[in-house]
Amino acid sequence: MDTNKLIYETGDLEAFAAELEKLHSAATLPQRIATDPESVERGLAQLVLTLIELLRQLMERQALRRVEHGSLSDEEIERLGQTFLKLKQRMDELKQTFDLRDEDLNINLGPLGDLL
Amino acid sequence: MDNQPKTIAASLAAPREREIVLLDLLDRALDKGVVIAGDIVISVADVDLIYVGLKVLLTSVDRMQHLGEQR
Amino acid sequence: MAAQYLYAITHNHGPTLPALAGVEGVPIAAVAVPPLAAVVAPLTVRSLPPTEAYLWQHEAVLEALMQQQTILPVRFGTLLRDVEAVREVLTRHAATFEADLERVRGCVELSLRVLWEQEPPADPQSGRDYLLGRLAQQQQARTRADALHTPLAALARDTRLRLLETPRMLLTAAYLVEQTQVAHVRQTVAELAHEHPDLQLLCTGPWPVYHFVSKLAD
Repeated sequence: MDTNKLIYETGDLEAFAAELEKLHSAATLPQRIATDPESVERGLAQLVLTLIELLRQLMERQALRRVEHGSLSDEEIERLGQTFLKLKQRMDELKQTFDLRDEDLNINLGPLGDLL
Repeated sequence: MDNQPKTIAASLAAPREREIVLLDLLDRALDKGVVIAGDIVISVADVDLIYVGLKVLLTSVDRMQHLGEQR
Repeated sequence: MAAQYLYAITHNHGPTLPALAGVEGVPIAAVAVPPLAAVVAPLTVRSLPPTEAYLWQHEAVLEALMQQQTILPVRFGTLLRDVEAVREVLTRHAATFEADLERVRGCVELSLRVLWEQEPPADPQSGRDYLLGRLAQQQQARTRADALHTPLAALARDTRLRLLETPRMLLTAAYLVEQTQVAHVRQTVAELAHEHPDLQLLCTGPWPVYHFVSKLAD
């Protein structure tokens, strides 16, 4: 058997490593809950924001499907878009407050692949 | 134990390549493969089960919505 | 009554197991429930952390087995109570395992990941802007991923793919490929890389067929 698992590669190995690390950090979240109050707060914020982010992604995807199928009126599209936009902005603020990065809240959902 | 079967990893020259292949392995070996459930299992790797469970649940919700729409 | 670490499911009538030390240097053994067998090793630990060394030890056992016969890889870190528990698993899921072994016979798994560069979207001026922008982005991802995926899928017996696991990771795909086709896939990936110079491609393998085992019924 081939001893080198790298079959073919173009581009920047650093970039691949960075993206793969994001996936991995998502898979093994969260770290043990620490005992000092600040870490607990941050840990809880991370858990809650992860959930919200998941729901946001799910709902947004559902909305995009509807837009794609043409089953929404212009006004509905505008209203939904506003909601998601605001939610996203609010999430960005909260992430900053609790010093969390995107990958801290990322549980990859997989089934986006179904869309292909 | 220097003759552990680590030859695959050891043969990858550059550390970056080695890391990438390891991450690719991690992504499959921890998340895929035959998954056995039930109380006969003592443990599976350190993956946080709350998160795994959550992911499964939400994925199912998403699938159901998807199916519902196609009707 | 040692706990059994589970590596793989295979056919009982395959060649004799190679003399092989796996995780922690413990030699592998077979637990047979004809026509199936599980490849195991007794371990005294309560759990196995996914360290680099352990992962490669697990992988090395699977790859040595793959050289001899078709196997279904078991998820890393699976420890069962005892040999009886291993038999129970083989018995209960016999039909699924046999069907899977047939489906993946003579195949390996290849992995493809593709990165793309995306200019950050302009600040949306309205809700409609935002939503339509997201939709356009998604459709573009599908089109671009499709151009890579379709020629490779033609060489594979089965495929699994995910789009946009991260915003930069356009495509994550696994291909179930006959061993004899590996070189062909490599060639095709190289051609695709040439046709799409703005994308970054990473193809690894051959792996055990991790992505192509069925989910077991409870």
